[in-house]
Amino acid sequence: MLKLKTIMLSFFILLSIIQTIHLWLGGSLSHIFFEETAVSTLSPISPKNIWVNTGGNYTHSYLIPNEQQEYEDIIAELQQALLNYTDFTDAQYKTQDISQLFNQQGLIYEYSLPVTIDEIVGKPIPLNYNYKINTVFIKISDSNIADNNIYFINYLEDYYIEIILQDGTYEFTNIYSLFNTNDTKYQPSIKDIKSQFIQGNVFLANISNTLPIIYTNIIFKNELQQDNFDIQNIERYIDHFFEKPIMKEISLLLGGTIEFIESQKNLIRYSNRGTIQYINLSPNTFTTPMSKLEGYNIVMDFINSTDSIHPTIKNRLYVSDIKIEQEAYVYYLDIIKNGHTIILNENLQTALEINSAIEIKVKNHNIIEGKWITYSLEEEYSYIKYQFTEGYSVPIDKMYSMLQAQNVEQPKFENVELVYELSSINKGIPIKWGVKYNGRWHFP
Amino acid sequence: MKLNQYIFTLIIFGAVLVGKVDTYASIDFTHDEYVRITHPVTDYDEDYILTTFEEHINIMGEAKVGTNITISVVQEQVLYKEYILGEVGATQTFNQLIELGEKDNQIVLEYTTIEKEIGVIVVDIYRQPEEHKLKIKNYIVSTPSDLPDNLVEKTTDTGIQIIMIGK
Repeated sequence: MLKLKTIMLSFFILLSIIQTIHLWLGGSLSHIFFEETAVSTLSPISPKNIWVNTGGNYTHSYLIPNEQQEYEDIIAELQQALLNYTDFTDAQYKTQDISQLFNQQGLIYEYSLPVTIDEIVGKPIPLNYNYKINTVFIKISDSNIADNNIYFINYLEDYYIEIILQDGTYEFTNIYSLFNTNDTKYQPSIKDIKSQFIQGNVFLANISNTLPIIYTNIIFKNELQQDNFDIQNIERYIDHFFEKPIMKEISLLLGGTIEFIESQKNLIRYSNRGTIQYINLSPNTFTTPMSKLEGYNIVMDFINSTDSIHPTIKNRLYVSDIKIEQEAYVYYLDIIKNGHTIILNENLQTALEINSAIEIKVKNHNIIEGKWITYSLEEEYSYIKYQFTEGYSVPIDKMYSMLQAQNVEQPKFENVELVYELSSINKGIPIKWGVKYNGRWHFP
Repeated sequence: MKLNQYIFTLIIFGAVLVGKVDTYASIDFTHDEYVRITHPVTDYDEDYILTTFEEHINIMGEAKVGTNITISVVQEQVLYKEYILGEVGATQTFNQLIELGEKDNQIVLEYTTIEKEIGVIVVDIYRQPEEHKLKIKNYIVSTPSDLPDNLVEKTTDTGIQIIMIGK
């Protein structure tokens, strides 16, 4: 009897050990306590626009809208494909005719500033050289079994990096079919006769009297504008910047500016004209190196954390430039609505002392300084739909003519786009053609 | 000193001569030529038909400044679509996204030059019907007889006719 008990006991002990091992370390229904922690990746820099390119000799492109954050998933898909791709050493560097790439069907991720492949993937990638990329072109193959190629294009130096994705289980083909709509057609300028006047590639809205673009006017309002300086209303939005909001000092400056200071820590300057400026007064003693992409993630977190940047603007931002200033990265973000960029009028820029909708300076993982507009963005209500019928030849010809009169030969434009120009609030703003030349926007 | 002055005037003179070119220099027209279509490419042999599956194509070309252009899409002698482009600008280029009907289309480009001369360029484009597009996508072609009608190249007389009317 005793022997049986011993055997039973040892059996059960053994069984419990085995089952615990199963429970902790594996098996389909287990709670895996000791799971390998996922390698953390940062959010990649978002492209300004994503396009569907139909391909062929008469290729045209359709803009994928981003009004419901559709881009997040599409960017994640590229990130996933590139994270799984292990043969970057096989990547081919090519200098063949870039315009030929646009004869293929595909998805185009258009970046508003040169980015590195690390910044597109969100993680350092082992490559021979830190290539600067303007555009990512994902070629969609016609069949499910063929490979998808990805091209990383640099227009300024005329080269592209080609990789071949062998595992075809990505959503790119579905994304292509989903957004291959019958909306406004855009002509990739690199395949247009006007390409000689345009740097790189720009998507030209191909509109005319018979194929107009329907648009809505937009209005900017300043929700925070105070006629009688109701400080409490402002405090609601900016108190979270301070460690001890009650202790902050308030002073009124000339020209309708209110300054809130937490000595040696935080400073907020509110301007009634429509900006808020944040300055980090803490002495910066740490020198933890920070990459451009890490800074970008910090900036996006910062923007999402404050209500002083209106929610109608938060979801519509893109990085228009990143500059280096005194060992810090300064991120310039602008607004894009319904696929049209919003340009701050030069006079407004001077009046508000700001060049982009949001400017944030980051150093060593800390926000050093930030300035942004406090406006909200809405569509103007109208019972009639506005139509825009002027084609892209007109602004290009006008700019060309104007520059010829100033004896500029063979000018090259950086961008030709239908934009909204913000010059004042509480007024409906229509779209118009903008031509960017020598860093400045012109509206011919 | 005098020699320097002489060289100086020569340079200025040369610059003025070069500066006289006030339109995009690499687009050149001969005396009688006013308009050229560069896309779709049209100078093929006579027995080549321009064929496409696309419903919309972007016609591009070069023309002298001030030329007034109108493009009409004609099907079976009936006007299908008309596009009034207006005057060609300083870049000496023009483009228009046109819609093609199914099967045979005649693209008629009428132009009036700045000297009030009129000309016409006609291009024939065959647009494959939608059903053929789907057939092609789904078919495996092993012999030409598998292809839908009209996909095999015809050898009848088609192509470009450039007619100058009036002077």
